[in-house]
Amino acid sequence: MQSAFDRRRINGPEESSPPVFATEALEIPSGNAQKTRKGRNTSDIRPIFLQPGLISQANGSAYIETERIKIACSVYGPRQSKNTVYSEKGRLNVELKFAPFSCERRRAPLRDAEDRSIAVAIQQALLSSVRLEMFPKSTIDVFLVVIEADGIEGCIASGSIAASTALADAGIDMFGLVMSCSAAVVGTEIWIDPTQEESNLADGSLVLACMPALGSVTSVWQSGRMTPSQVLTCIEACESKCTDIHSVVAQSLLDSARAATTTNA
Amino acid sequence: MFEFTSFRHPPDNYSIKNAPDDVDMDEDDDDFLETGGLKLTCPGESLTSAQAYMRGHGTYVDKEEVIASVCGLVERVNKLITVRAVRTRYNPEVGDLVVGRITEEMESRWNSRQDAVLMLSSVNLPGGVQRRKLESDELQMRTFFEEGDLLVAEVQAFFGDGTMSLHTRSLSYGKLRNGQLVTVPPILVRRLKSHFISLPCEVDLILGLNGYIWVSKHVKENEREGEEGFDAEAVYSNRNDHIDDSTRTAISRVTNLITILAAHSIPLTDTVLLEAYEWSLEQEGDVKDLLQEDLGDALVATILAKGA
Amino acid sequence: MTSISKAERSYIQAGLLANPPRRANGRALHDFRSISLETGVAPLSNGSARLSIGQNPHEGSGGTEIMASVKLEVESIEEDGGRIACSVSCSPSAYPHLSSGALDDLQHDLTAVLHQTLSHPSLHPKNLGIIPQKKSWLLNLDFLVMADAGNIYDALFMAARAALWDTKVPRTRSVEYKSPKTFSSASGDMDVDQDTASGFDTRKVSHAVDFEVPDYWDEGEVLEGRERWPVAVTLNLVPTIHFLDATSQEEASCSSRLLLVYSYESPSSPTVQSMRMLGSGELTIPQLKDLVKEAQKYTKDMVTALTAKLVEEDLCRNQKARDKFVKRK
Repeated sequence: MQSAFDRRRINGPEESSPPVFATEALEIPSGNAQKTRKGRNTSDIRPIFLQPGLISQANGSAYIETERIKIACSVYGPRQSKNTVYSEKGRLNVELKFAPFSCERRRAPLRDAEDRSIAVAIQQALLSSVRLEMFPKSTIDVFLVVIEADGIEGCIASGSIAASTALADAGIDMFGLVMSCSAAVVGTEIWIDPTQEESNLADGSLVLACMPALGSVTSVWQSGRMTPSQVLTCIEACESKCTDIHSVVAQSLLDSARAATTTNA
Repeated sequence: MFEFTSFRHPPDNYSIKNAPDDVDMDEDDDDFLETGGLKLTCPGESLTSAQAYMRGHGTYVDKEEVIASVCGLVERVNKLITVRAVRTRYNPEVGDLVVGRITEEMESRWNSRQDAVLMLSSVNLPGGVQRRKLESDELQMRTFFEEGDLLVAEVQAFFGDGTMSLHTRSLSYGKLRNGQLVTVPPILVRRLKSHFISLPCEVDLILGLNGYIWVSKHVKENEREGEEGFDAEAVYSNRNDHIDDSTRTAISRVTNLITILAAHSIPLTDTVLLEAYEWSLEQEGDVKDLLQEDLGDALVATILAKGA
Repeated sequence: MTSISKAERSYIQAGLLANPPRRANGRALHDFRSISLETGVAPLSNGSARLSIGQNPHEGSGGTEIMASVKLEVESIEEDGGRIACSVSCSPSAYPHLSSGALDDLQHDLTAVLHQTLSHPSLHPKNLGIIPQKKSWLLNLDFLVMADAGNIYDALFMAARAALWDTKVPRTRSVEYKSPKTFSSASGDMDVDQDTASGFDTRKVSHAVDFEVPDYWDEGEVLEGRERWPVAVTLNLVPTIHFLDATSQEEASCSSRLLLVYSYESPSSPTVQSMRMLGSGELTIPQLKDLVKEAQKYTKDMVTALTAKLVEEDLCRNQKARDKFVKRK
């Protein structure tokens, strides 16, 4: 703030905003015609790259990439709770931070409202999967950093997968792995795993988090306008995708566990 | 299922009357003190001269005059003037029965709401009444009482800073179960001979002087005693007995009645509650209908008529 | 969260699972406590409402109490149509046991759900623009939670609908500035080179640069599409059953809730505007389907009763204003 009134220098204008570069020709949306999805089928998800154990100083960690979404997650705990109130069940604390360079417009390094919303959604997804009754008086901290973002729903879904993998990597007792998938309703079609552009076109979107091993849903997050039947169709489509993602994640965890045991032995 | 009503509005005919010009306060007071009528006062109002009367709670002395320091009713006992506040925090006395909730556990004591402390030495430990306290008991305090537990206790003494010290050393005190809690303003619970009330519908009431009232399923008299085999499991257990439907309905009914009576500022005694219960049984409609405004007013009118 | 003991919790749960189910004050599983609603309570705002659930009818104590108010501001923008911004603030007296950090977090969470739901383009009213591409109304919807005795989300959405129903947008008129015609000299000849407007030119190019409010005392018109504003129902979940309108003790006894927000623009085909699972519970897909259907029934009843009350309030207020005018001294 002081720099704006610095009389020894030539000050720029008080209000300024970053330039936005138009790289590709922007397409003007063609009104109410049904839009078709580019590059993928309506029910295809983007390919996932998942690497557990990337951050060595944390108890557990995972790094996930799905095309343009890149999230790193680290887990610390169970550690003793700092506040003195005794609780029989452990506490799960999820904190998320967008890196300043993660979105098109620079995000300030302070915590803002959107950080907390996504963190709350991820915590809701994970809450029923961790066996918190085994850790009285303790806190499990899950820290997520979004390195590149592409849509809120995508961040929530990928963040939940990364966090669950990191918890498994940390050896924390869980009932099952949490998988998460998002869907958007565009006109009459349902597009699975939408990007930022695609969800801007959508009437409504939904993120589902479930534990495929137990067949139960831990969190549903829906916003926008959808008919009840569309909601149920989205939920079913997401659930079947989550089962597919589960096999990928389980495989990568087993691979990293195998690598760890061979190096130890 | 959905019932929309409107808010109550205060009547529109409030007007500030002009204060009479020459009101001679002292004369009035002397007359009052002779005749013994009811007098309401507010802080700063001078009551009487300090030469003739001693001051009690709710008053202070300034320049030879006794002046009220709270809003309330002036009471006179012989030469002692006190002012009893209309709405106040609960003022504990030794020997009072209170219902409290554990808020915190500390080194060898539990903390309950509103500055009261229950020491480990003041509870019955398993193994008999005369057992000496061991260190292992301190580490296992949570097996007796946990945070959030409700219990009924008696005020034993006061510490120097005004904190109450409670004890549950009698067998009728201890952890509360099989029921639900209702909160009322503390002044509506008067000091009675016994705060354990049994209503004929199989419902027990414990009237805590701090305004917490526990409504529960009836416990038979003989089950309460039993000094020889002091069963720690049973006394400190968290499990409720099976409560059947009619008892549950009766508990809900009594809870609603207490809420209505408290909203109308009627002091709670066993006779009042019994009459209210019988009246409510005569009404048609469900337990939840009791909470409607017209039924509540009718109940209060009946009670006041019977009382007067 | 209010703290309750294990014995109280199992008493409440056993009562809910009993046959027939029994709740603390004798309500059925799907009964709401009595709801008091009044609109037009804040005269300086463009629309307002005060709502309370479960308040004691005699004394006015207890219960969940919310005040919602709408204030319109003029904004200079690039895109058309205006925007809506919601914010919830919780009075510390409503949550005496929470620290200020936890209170901020709670405020933020409530704001996020309300803002994401109500500011979605599908609910946007069409009469919030003033001058296209230049000025529009910013609708600030502010909530104040004065007391919380359970079921805060249902109360907030109902208060939102009531305040938005009550909102009147001032009518505006665009103003153009035209440069004065140049007069020729005293000869009085008409300047034949003057541009004449052709009758075939039917373009409506707006040169409006400013606006005025033609009638200061006119409250304005109602928001377009006010039947669209949604209502919410929170289904509290105990394994095998669900119940509505939980008190704080009931909320502390059952940890899992499902919040569903429905909009009834056309009574026969409702749309889901928001759905959140809250708390630590799991559901299977068939259970989720059933709950979505049940919520539809509950919200339909809620919307019918709420709209009837709001219409009644509208009529009542005109009558009250007339009475007050008559009684003035």
